[in-house]
Amino acid sequence: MTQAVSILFGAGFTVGACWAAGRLLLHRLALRFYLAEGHLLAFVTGSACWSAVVFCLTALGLAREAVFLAAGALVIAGALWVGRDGSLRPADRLPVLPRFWKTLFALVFAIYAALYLLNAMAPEASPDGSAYHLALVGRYFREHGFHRITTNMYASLSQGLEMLFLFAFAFGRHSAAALLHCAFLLTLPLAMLSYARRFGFPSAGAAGALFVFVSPLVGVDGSSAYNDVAAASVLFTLFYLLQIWDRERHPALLVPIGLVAGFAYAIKYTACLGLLYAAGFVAWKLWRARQPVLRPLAVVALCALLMMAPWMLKNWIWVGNPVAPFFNRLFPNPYIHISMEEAYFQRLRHYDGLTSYWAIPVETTVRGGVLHGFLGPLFLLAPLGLLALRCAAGRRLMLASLLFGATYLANFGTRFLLPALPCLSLAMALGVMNLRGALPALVMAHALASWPGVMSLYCNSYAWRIQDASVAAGLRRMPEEAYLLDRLPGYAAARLLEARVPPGERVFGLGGLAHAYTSREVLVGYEAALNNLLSDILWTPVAREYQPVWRLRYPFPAETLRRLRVVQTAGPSSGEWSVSELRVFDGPRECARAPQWRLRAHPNPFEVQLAFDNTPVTRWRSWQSLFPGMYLEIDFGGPLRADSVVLECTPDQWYSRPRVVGQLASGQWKTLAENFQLAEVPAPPGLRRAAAEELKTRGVNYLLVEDGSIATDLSTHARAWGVTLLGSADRARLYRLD
Amino acid sequence: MPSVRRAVPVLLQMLALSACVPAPDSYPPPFQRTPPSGPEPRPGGAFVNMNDPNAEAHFVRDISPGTEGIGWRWTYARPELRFWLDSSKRQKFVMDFGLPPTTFEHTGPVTLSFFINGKLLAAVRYTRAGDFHFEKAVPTAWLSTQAETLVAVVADKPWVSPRDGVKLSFTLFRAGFIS
Repeated sequence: MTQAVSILFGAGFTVGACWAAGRLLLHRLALRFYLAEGHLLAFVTGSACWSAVVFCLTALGLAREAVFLAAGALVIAGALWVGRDGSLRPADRLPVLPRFWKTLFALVFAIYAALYLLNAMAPEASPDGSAYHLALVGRYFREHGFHRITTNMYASLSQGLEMLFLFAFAFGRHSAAALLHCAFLLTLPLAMLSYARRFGFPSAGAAGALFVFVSPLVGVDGSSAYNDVAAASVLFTLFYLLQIWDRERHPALLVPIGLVAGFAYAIKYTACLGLLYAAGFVAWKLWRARQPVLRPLAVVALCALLMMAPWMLKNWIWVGNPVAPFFNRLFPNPYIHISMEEAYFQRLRHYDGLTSYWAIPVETTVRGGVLHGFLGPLFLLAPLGLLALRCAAGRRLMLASLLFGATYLANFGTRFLLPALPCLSLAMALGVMNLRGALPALVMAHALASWPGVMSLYCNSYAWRIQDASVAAGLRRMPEEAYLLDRLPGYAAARLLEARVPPGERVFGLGGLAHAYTSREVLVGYEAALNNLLSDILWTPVAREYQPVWRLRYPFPAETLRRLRVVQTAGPSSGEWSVSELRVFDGPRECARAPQWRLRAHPNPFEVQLAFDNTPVTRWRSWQSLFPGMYLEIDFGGPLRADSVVLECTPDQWYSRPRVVGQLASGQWKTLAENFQLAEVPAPPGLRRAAAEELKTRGVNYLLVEDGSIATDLSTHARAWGVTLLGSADRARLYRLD
Repeated sequence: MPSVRRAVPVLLQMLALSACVPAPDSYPPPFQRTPPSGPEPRPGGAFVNMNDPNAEAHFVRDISPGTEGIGWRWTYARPELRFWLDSSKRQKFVMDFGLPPTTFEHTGPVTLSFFINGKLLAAVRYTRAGDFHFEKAVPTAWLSTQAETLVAVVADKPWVSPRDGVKLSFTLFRAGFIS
């Protein structure tokens, strides 16, 4: 029960701090709103501000419970102080909602809110929440601040909402963060209703709000430690504020508009379209009214930048790419390989089981197994939104919905439709508003179809959704451990790490893990350049295509050289180029690699040393598709006589056609050898031991591998690897490198 | 406009170059590793208990991946193990195994055939359920210290699961060569 109180306090205190920060800002800007909307807008706007405050505290190494407690208390006290004279009292009440809709909305809202609150209170068992959202939050809290993380691409994503999670986590741990997200879920339909009441279509607003609120995916996402519903809520608030500004033209409104637009980016990169929408909307309206455009636009942009810049600067300083982990061609860096980024994008657009784009409508609305969640069958009627184009509000809603949903083209997961959903739902409701009885019928049918017991009758059994909500789990009458062991794959493995790996040790993991439940650093194979390399090293003894069994020998008449380059002439091709070792010979003798040598590569200059380290388990890889002109270069730092070059390569690059050029003592470049003699040799002995040594050199002393492939080899050749099995859980095995 | 178009890539490059990630123009040769030489150590030995940490190193096929009870494993249709011997002289193959009553009542008496490197060492008929010990000397000529020694044990009547068709032969506790 104490834990339940901590959870409630953590989330409640965070909501209070956000609300207070918003109230102070709106007070400072002398902005007045209607009764209900004032609190909602204060919460969302204040969330942006409070997220920035938590970012600053974390950047200063002050992410501590006591500091958060003091900061939160201070801002809440401040809001209460400035509001003591009634200056924060709202100007007026919003236009009333018809009694029928008031009752229906209250009833459905209350039932589903209870379901969501219970689900959020339960131990956090969502896939992404436990894999990285809260894993990073937990790490920031343990370390009391940000530290440079170059081995996890998720650490480079903007984490505006995670800052609020961190604040809540300090008091109530994982479930407090989920509950905080739930606050955005509860805010969203209320904000939609307020908007609709303000702009004259309250019944449609109530229906549209419930369309979103009871949607199965919205419910499960919003009651987990994800960020999609918060992003949708913030984008809708942005839309709402812009409509108020359009009506009132209060210049001070541009400040929260900019902050909220920037906060959308800070929550999720894909929500950056909010800023585009805000800037376009303001510019268009002012231009049509023949009013100055630049100054208001500058206010919006600067306020947005306040929210965005911290994340960009953090990335720029630590990983050399302000928009990491994306656009690495534009901002080359040693931490993310280009092919890794491309593969990641590819994965986002490819869902196993999605056979045709035509399957997307049914998958996103009814089935949900392939695209990880569904919105409810009601949204098969989404084209009803087109009927709303008859009125100005409908056109605005549809345009915003289209824009906010545009990033869906980059990721077909149903979650990526959520930013568009609030505006679309309101447009749908507006479209059939005049059809007698249609809206209540749709609301009730949707609410019924979205109830956990009912949706299981038609959705895919693997669809992500709330399957039940346990009061015992929420109030911690059931032990958290038992609940998580039963529901969260990867939890047992996380606890195994906690039990068997000493603090401070690095674990290399090929499999999925509930990272949020271990304090050990786990490097996952696909999450960073170093991890890619570790994965390569681990696979080399096992997979022949990773072993340097090709010898490409380039004989040429002896020359005295200053520099030597091996230049790729093949391509463009989708394959990569790699070189395990590049050796230079003078007669039968290999020229020793001298300290004055300087090595260069293009592309991927950062890993050029891997082709010169004399180990068969590492190799320089282009990590991007082959193109002519790629090269490896040695600057000998003085004249060096050579008559042949040998490339030791993996046999998976039949398309590769490198040639050797050299710079003579005169400074002139000359082609030394166009063609190579290929010989296939046996794999070098001792690859397993060499791989283990390379892993240890890179600070990895533990391996967590899934059953199968590598695990089989580790278990069969434990002595050759030099590993000891420490335990197994969740179909994963933990080994120590001895 | 053309000047703006020219300026954009330049500005982006400047931004990239001014980042705080050190990106040297070139690198010196790294520390030179000495690759391990000689053959890898043998994965296992001449004998294995089913609950040994490296027991799986001895499995070729048809032995359950997890241990049960006090450390035995199910064997499927044609279980096969591998061993590494230090000597081929005066070796006896031994195996402790069980025929559980639950499967025996369906199969009745079972004959197990023991093969060493493909050669039949013995075929023994077991007429009751229970735990058994098998032991028999192996001709020196059948064995080698230079290569793996493969042992297959084939039951003439494995129990077949009516649900999924999985064949269970016997339960295995330990097996290997003793001299």
